[in-house]
Amino acid sequence: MRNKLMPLNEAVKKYIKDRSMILMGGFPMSRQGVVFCKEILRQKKAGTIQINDLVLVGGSIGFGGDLLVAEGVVDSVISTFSSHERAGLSVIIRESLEKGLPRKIKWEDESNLTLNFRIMAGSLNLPFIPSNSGVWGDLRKSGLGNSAYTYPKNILCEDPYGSGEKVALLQAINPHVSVVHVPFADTHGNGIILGALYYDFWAGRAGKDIILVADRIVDTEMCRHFPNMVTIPGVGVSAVVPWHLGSWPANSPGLYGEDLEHISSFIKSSRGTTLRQYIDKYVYSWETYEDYLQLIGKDNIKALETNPSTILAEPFQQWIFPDEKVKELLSGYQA
Amino acid sequence: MDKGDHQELLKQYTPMEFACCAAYKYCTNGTTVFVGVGLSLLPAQLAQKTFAPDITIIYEGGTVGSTAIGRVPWGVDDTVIQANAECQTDLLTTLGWLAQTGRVDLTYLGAAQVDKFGNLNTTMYGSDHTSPLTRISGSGGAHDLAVGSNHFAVIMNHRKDRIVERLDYRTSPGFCEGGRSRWDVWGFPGGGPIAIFTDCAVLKPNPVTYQLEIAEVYPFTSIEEVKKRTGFDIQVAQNFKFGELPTAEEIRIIREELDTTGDFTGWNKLTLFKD
Repeated sequence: MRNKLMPLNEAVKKYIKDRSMILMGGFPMSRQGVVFCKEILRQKKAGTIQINDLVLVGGSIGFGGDLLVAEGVVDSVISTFSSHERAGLSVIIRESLEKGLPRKIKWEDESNLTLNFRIMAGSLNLPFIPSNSGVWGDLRKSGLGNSAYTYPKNILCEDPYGSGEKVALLQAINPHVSVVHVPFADTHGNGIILGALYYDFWAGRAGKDIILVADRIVDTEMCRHFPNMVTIPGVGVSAVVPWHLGSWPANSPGLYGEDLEHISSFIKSSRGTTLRQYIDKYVYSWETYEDYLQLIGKDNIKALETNPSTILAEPFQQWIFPDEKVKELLSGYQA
Repeated sequence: MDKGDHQELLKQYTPMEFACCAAYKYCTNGTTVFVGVGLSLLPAQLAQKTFAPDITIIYEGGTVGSTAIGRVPWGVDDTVIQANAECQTDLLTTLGWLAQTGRVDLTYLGAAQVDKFGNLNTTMYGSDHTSPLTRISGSGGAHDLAVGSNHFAVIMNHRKDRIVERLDYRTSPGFCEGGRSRWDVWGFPGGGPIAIFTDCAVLKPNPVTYQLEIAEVYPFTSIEEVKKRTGFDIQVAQNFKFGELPTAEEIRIIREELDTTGDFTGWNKLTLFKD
């Protein structure tokens, strides 16, 4: 199989267009494509991509999604959750939905099961899927209004085989791009996940193009030793972006913990001028990967990497490529 | 008990400690318990550390049978619950398979609003879902667990605008439109809410109408007080009783082992505790 490693900026340039529907893997504070979202904003600012009306899909759109909403490039969101769990509700989502700041997004509510079903249906090339969830209550109301993605929602249907059971027919979601953060991937795009899978089994099978953002690139020999550890088959993946700590301040189980201090301060500073300062610093001020690491801080990185979950990654250390090797593999990339 | 005694009790225990100590007794050893984080996690952990060491705790993200290492988890996806799980799987397995097929015995949920039939709102306040007055968190997996879990219990604050006649947004089904509608009209596999544990009372469904009634009132308050804090005309259950005081051991485990900072139950703000 070919080498699918791609620099972050090239992946954003190639796959993100205006009105792209982007599925984001992970959970509120775990394995999120945060750095990918930052790069979308950086390239918009640099003028290399023109985007104004992205559609975001995910169990949680997380810190990266928050930043995209804060910068006004999101038209609609299909999601289940607008909170950063213990750290607090998303101030940015609240400002948008309640006050229209900086612009009013359209928000479609799902449950974690109905959204997973809708993504799975799309992955399997089915137009819809029956479900026990989504039958009762206001999840049946569409929140997308008059956007290009409007549809009648959760049509109820009785089992045509005669059991009398009532189900909701959930419409498939077919994203343009799915961005899934993984701790390990090989150059062929085989994604290995440590810890809970959340949506990522199906997020890694959804959409026209699947992009993995990987903390570490591993030798394909690892896949050959542990083929059952491969959660996302490389054969369906379009690109792999190597970016250690790409999920920060969210965690990547097995490699680093959640940066609780940063998460708390982000929630506190996520409106007005402090938000402007935050975005200027953490989205736009850096150029290289080394700058990015410097913003997180050497001591902080060490602390995040001292985490009980690192036991999950211990057996696989020997297959991790060193940074120089990854640079060499990336240097061959031609746009 | 007069008002002075009530004040004394609230210097020793917080209302949410009463709620936790009432709620954890609904676990049964050897069963599977599904939890969120914060207040909904505490009762399951308290049960595990006392009379129910063999419950299996499931987190919706896919983590099964783990215990937190070092601190209270900040989320169901926190790394401190991911290092020693028996099994790591996905949402489709936890919410789709386990919860929809009778394999989840009890779920603890939080809620912003509950109505008289035990239906929950965790999504928003306001009248138009596209322009909420206040956006809250959303369903997450709550809707799916409310549909499928054998039973669920809710832990929440008790105020007139929280325990209401009509929800601002119907996120998760309890007993739907009352009576047997949950099963006869909607056909949901799970049994619905077993109890609502608030910061002043335990509410339980009437076995015929499935409308919530006051089943217990914590010893620091009264039926009149609870009625005043309820947004619909609530009845008192036939087998009503006053709640028990938390035991010294329950309080010790909550404060020293589970909610060590007091973030969830608020015990760190008690005035008497300090001296």
